[in-house]
Amino acid sequence: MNEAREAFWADYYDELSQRAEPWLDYSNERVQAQTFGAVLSALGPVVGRRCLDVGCGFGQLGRALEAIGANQVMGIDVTSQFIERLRAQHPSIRWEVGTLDNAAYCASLGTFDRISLVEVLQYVSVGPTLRQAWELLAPGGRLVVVVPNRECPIVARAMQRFPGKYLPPTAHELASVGDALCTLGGGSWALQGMSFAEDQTLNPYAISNWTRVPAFVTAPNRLLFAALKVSEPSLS
Amino acid sequence: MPTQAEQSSRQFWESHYRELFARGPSWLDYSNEKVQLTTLGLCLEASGGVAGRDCLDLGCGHGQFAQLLAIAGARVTAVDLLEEAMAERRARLPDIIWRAGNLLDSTFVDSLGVFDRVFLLEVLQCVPWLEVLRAVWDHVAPAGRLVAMVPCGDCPIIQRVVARHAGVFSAPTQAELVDALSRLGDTEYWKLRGLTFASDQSLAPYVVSPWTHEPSWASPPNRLQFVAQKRSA
Repeated sequence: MNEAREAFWADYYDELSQRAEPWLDYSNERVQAQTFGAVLSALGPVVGRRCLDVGCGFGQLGRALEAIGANQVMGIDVTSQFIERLRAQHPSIRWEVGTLDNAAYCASLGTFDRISLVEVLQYVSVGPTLRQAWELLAPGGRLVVVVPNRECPIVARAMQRFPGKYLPPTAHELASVGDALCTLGGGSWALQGMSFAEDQTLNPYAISNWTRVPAFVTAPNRLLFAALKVSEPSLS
Repeated sequence: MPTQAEQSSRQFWESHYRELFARGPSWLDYSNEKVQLTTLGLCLEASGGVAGRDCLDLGCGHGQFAQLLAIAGARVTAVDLLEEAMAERRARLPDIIWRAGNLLDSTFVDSLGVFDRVFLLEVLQCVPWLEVLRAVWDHVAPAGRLVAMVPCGDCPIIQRVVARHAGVFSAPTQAELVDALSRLGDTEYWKLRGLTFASDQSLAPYVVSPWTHEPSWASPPNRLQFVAQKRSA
């Protein structure tokens, strides 16, 4: 892990955490509601299940998971201001300052049935972070990721603004990490492209069908990736 | 005055839901929890944003969707049939306004007020859907939006349910819904999409079609989701 890069984003979010807008790094509340809805759909059933939200921010996704019946919810974030506020306001959820690049910390967490990483991978190393998340996943569990797509020109401009610090993956990189994880542990993955629609009157994004062969005509702005770990470790 | 058929339908649903609520948290009338979560997700996804807006969830059931709206930053009023169920939620979740009432009761509907977002998740099949759709549309504010999920009356599985519960369960066909939406009045636009059970449901129960004005799917979907947006004042 690049420590300077991590420290940069920790400071950046420290500052964001002071702002009032509840949609944090979403462009607006319409994008936020559509993203939450798509993530909740992709997470599948959560009733009675243990959920971990990595990069929990203002904690809405974690609270939503609790409201719809998750058994235990944990939210982690690098920004201690978020965590302190959430601990005071919503004590039924376990909120901690933490990241997935600390192996000893991860080993102390146990396993989860659902793990979400929404707008996180652009700030960390994609492969190692997803491998660590996969290890934290219980058999039958599910991992859901929303991340900017490096191949999208708008995203490329953000990369120029934060040179070396904002490094989102391409769809093919996510696909090859997905293949590697599923070969290791047994499982399956698929992804959706989220593209700002030409006509945004109904919704900001047009969301593609699930695919394992990402061949988009124009690069989507964001990618929604989901991976399922099989119930039992593969014998082969 | 409601007709005798309306009265008996009303009693059917009240006792149906009284029994379901008595069983405690469940996915109510969704076939399973996977379908329920997908429905909630897809309706939030189609909401057009709820933060800072007045939202009305009609047929709120156990209140999961109402809570999602509140967590996403909305001011929420949630409605369902049974006062005992609403009283329990009022005590536990005071940030949401919980109201007991029946959508067939026009005095109750008139008392609801006007909202930026009105949600009808799995409700229209339990009521005379066209009448209720029109009545509810009056409670959508200018530039506001109605979002609904309903069984598709063209789907053979749904048709069997309609036959089994004749008089109390009715589902609009695609043509009926298109006709109703195009006659609502004051619409900025409306669109619908079809949800069809996927052959591989490991990831998601439904394959979701693109939004359209002119449904022309090879085989009828299991459910229809629609959005109607009102013109600005």
